[in-house]
Amino acid sequence: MIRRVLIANRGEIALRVIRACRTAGIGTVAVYSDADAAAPHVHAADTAVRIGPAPAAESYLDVGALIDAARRTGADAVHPGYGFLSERAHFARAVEEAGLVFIGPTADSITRLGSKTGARTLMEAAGVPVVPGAAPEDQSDAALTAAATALGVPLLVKPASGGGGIGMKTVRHLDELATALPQARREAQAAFGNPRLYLERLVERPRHIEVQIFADASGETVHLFERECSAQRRHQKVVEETPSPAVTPSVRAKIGAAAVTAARTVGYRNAGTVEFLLEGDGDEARFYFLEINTRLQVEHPITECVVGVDLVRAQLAVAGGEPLPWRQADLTQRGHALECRIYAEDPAQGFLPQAGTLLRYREPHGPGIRVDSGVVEGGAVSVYYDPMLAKLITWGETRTESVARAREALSRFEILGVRTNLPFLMAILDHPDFIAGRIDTGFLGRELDALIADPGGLPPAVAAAAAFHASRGPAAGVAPVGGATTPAADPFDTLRGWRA
Amino acid sequence: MSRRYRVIHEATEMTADTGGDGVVVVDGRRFHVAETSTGQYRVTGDDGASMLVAVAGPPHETWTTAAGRARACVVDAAPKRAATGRAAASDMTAPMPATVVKVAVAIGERVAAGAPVVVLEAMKMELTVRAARDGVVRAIGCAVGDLVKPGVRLVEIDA
Repeated sequence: MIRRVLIANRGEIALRVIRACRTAGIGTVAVYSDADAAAPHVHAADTAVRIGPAPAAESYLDVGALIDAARRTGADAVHPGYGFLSERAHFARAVEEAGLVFIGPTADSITRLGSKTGARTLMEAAGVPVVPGAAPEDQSDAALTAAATALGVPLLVKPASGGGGIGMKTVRHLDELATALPQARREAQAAFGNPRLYLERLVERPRHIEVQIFADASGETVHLFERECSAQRRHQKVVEETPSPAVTPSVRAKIGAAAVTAARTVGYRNAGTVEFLLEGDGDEARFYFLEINTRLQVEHPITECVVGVDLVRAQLAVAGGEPLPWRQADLTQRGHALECRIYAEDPAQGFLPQAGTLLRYREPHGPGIRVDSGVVEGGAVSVYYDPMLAKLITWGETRTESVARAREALSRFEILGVRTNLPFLMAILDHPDFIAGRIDTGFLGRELDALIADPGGLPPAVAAAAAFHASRGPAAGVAPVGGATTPAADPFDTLRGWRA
Repeated sequence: MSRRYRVIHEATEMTADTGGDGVVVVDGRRFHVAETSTGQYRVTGDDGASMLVAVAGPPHETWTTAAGRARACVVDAAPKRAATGRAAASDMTAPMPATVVKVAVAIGERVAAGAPVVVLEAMKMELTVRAARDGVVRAIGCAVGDLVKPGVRLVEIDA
């Protein structure tokens, strides 16, 4: 039984965990850096402890300071949230060694799943599908060509050690191997000091489908269906939904079972996410294991909406030694949920993160609308942390309904003082391919120019409101040109929030 | 009391006349503005089309949002109609705190009225300051990179 949880995080996820603790009757300890002394999560918790200066490396990533804060406040468990230390095995181990409960998988599981190639080998052995590939012992052109012929095209030639796309070649016809192999070998040698090559089937236009899994201390493991996260930009998810428009009931049953197998293979505990690539359509679609994320995901609320569960509360229960609150047969999906991530970033400037004061921050409300946010009007958006301001989660009986709700709710968000990606999100939801559910991981990249196009100009009606606002009262008023400027109205007094 | 404002957004400038009865005329188009809650307005045009607009921030950095799209603008008290001939934009001063990104003239150079003399940047918008009259540049009161205050005379031109 957990009595008091220290939340080793900030922003919306810290608030999300604090609220779940409240409903479970569990005490809460917030931690904060100097940049967050007045942040909402600090006020929401029962107690709050300063852990260091603004840079994350000296505060939210300082394991010693976090363990010390937990000891001083009598916390008996630590929730890592997502990001920061959530997938660092050394943090989970430090928490365990301090005699506290880490609300998540064991340090050992985090280590084993942290290695992508190690996880792939484990999963392949367990019969979970992985992207077909080959790393022949004999690295001669003849042997590699034979392996490539067996795999089929299109395929990727990759350095066996290394990553980041360096030295990677796409081969669409087998006769291209004659030039691709020596070239890839030279690049692999130059970049990684190892000329060995790995061949992998190229999955074209894949969808990113992930499955929520949950396991308790006895090893009981369930899945809570899939989430479609193909709308991503440079591996940064932007819009997520569940159910996926591409997953049929038979594929859903298979991918769910594969996710549970993957979790059992590593003796997984608590909440996790198994990521897959999905290729093709309908019942013929194939899926391939990518990795297991050993944390609560940003997009967990869409699963909560459609399955009708509180994943964070379940995390607390299972970490406290209770059995899973559900059996697989109890879990069903109802309706459709969508999440839009609202960032303080400027799409017109390459999505540059924005900082400033939130001069106005108003969230939409209404049926089927949930907003998980970590900011308040008047608060500062700093450059130190992730620029996500809020998550808009909408639910509807159908996909059409939840998308329409999201589109309408986005247009009612009022965020002033920093630039946001709200117009980008609205453009995604208006895009015919998104509406039709025809998206893959390349969708946002291909359509980016259209999605960030700004019609420009200030509509006269908006200018009317701005002028009317200025005409109201001294606070909003404008000193006539050449007239005396009151000290409070001196623009240089407000330069702090002004980006020159 | 009626007042006149200049509303500047990127390269465009509109003139807005506000009346006490919620009527605002923007470049000749009439709107009725009603405050729905603090900082939020319903703006209805003569054609009956209406939208909700939220406004915040000081006049020199006014933020607006309508239908999910936020835009920043400068709201500046404009001289009365009689004085329009020497409007602020043509007196070659900075209309807002801004960074000088370009000085397009040199001392002694002959310029024609309306020619660009200085380019300012504020809130990621560029604003071109133009010569107020034909003449010879006598003085330049700024350099590239300067942060200039509103009202500072950037260029002086002798007729």
